[in-house]
Amino acid sequence: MKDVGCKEKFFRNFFIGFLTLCLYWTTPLTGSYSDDTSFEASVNTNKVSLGETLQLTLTFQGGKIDSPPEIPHIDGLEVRYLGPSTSITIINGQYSSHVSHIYTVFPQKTGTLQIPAVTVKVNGKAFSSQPIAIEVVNAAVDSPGAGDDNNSAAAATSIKDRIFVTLEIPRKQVYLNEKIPLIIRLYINGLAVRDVQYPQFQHDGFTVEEFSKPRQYQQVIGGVRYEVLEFTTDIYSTRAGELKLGPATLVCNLLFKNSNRQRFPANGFDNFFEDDFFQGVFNNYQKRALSLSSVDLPIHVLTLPEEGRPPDFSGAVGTFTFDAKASPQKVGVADPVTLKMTVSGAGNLETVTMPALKADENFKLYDPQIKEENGNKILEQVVIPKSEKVREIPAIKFSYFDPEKKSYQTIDRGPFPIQVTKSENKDEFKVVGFDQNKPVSDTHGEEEFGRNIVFIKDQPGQFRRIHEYLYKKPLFISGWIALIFGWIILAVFYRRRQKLQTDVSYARALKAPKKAKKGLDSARKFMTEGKQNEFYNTIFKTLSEYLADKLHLSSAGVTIEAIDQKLKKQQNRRASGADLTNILNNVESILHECDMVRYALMKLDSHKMQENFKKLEEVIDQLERVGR
Amino acid sequence: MMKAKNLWTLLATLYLFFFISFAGSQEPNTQLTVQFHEAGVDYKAQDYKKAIELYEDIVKTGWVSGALYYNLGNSYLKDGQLGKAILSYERARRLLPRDSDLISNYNFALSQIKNEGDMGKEPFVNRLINRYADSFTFDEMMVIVFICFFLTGFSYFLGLFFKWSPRTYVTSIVVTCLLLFGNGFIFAYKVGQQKNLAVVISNASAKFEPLADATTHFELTPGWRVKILTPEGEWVKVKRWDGKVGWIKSDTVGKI
Repeated sequence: MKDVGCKEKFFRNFFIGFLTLCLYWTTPLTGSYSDDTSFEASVNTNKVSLGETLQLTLTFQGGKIDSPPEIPHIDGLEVRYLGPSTSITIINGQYSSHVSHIYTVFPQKTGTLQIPAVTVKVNGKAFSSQPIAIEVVNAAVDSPGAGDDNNSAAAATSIKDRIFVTLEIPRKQVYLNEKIPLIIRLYINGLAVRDVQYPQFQHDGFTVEEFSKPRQYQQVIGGVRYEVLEFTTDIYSTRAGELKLGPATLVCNLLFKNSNRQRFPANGFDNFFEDDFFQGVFNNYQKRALSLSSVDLPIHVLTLPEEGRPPDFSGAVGTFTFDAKASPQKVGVADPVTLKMTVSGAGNLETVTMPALKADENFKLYDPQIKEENGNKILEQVVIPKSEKVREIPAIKFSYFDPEKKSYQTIDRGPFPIQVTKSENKDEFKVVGFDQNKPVSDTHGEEEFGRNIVFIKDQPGQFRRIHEYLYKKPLFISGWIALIFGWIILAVFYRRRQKLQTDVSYARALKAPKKAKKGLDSARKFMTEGKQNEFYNTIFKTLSEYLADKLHLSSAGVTIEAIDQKLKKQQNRRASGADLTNILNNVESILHECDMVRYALMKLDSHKMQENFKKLEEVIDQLERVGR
Repeated sequence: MMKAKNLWTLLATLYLFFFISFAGSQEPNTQLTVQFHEAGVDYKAQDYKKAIELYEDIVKTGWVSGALYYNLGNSYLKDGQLGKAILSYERARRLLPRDSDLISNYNFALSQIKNEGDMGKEPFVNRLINRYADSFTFDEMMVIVFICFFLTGFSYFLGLFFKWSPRTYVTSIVVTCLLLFGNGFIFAYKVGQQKNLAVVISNASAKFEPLADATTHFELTPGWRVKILTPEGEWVKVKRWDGKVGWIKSDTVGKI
């Protein structure tokens, strides 16, 4: 593992050294420096524990100095020179470079110590850095993001001092609908930060535009160098009064190292060597989500003054320019002239109402086309001169409130001279629905007017699901099914009724079991009461009527032979497997015993009555089965 | 006999009334109504882009109405987006086929289409059928077919049960069957006609192949109606009224 670590360290140092040399060699060694050259000192932290170190960087912007500046002796601090570092930046073709000389500072005692101003001479011109106060304390406090020995001094300070968010606006007192530039900055000192998201902030009473692409640069505050990520946008107040802006919140991921084996990247989020490739090869970091909040800002929003307000003022607030031009200037009657008005400048263009041209007897106006392009609001108004007597398009005014001057401004444009000639092409008249030659009082001919669309509807009507149709609804489908079933049931019912009306044997056979059931009920009653004669009379009647109905016989024609003949016919026709012999035997037995009781006045016991009753039930049951 | 006949008629009427009213009932949505009115305020303030945004937001919820599409069409037309205006009017026509304001605005929008004369005319019979079919929504056509089916069965059984004279019976059966099959055919025709129908929303060059550098076959102007045949990635195969088929980018056309 140690070998692997050494190899990684070797390759990494080689790579860094190679790139540094390349940059050093390619840095232009010009002897003259422009006015924007500067010399400044910064430390990676201004709070450090005793026994640990901090890093002092002397930076010369806009060029380089050949030898490292001499640091004067400081009581309580030992300073050692580490080496130079050159940085070149090319943004949009703009070239800039700076050389940094890096020192390690060893505190020797606790307390507040000061690194004095350092002076260098370049081409005879002296440059001095600012003095930096540092605080040396006894105990070190661990914090995330401080994973490396050389950088552990930075850990002594609070995380809030090393990464924080600020919310800024230029003024605390603004006018309603005034454009307010808003800046949110993320400051980072000595921490590796990834996945920085766009900030969010409370803005009740304001409308907010989208953030532009964030800008990135370095800034020294109190001697400490910060990487700064700056987000800018514009906001507009929508109501007057005491309002509050913010706090702004920003979410990002903080990287911290698992082991102390490797050097931690300490230059914020933009270090080349913090690229994922290098991290994957050389280091092993973990992410920790971090949510940062700024303080909120009170804003006093003023209403627009009544005094001096022009009658045509329609709410535009800002610093605007207004231009208007008409073209073509030579047209025929009923030919269109386009009046183009352009409003541009700093302000809320969305709320700017463009000046309107009033229609009169000389002109016909069409609905204007309004669009926003490249920070300009453009209105194109088609104007149709109705007669050749028209000489000009009237002047137009645009009024706005200028918050810088705190007063209303009005810009006049026009009148716009035009030359109108009599048109020879009558067809073109009809296109715009206006006929100069037609007398106004002539109402007998076909009326022709300009065409336009009918106004919008005030009520939305009944909302319904998109692509949802009645025929897809279960209720509608079930209605169809119910209707079809209804027709089928009606057809069956009609057919049955027809058969009952036309087929007597079918009707009799259908009614037979119902009648028999009634007879059986009466017979059961007589059997319970012990009325033998009535019982056998009922049994006889029930059986005779049942057989007559079932087999379509006359009441007098119910004989064993006739029953036998009919049943055999039915059996052959329906291929029934019923035991006809058993049925006939039972019928014969019941009829015989009925005759014995009714005519021979024979007395039979209740057991015999039950037996006959059962036989009758069996006969009916079996014949019903045969009939199915 | 008369009592039974009255009972039959009463039951049949009640069935039709409850069935159609329950099957067609919709849920009210007050939130959408509020948003609809807000969009109307923006329209009146001539902020058509804002109005379009609000109307489109309502459409995105999946709840629509004829008036919503009508107002959206107006907003697009005022904003100079002719293709999208006609697309919205076409969608509105499916919900408000007999609305005079819509017909007027729709015809006005059609008159703004460039190369309008190139679109050709349909045969007389087709125009006649279309005129009838376009007078009703899909739901109304479905109800008409349903009522025709109901009446056919109703008159068939009524004649049987109540022994109508053969002349009355046959006439009623023939009339109701003609109504049923006629409306059924027109409904099927309407479904077939309007399936995959789309409107060109921006100028498009129809290519022979679904490739950006393929040869252009013909040009399409915003507002023209085309039939979508096959989608292929970001391209769709469309058929013009004259039968010409070509490939255009899918974002240049909106399905009705």
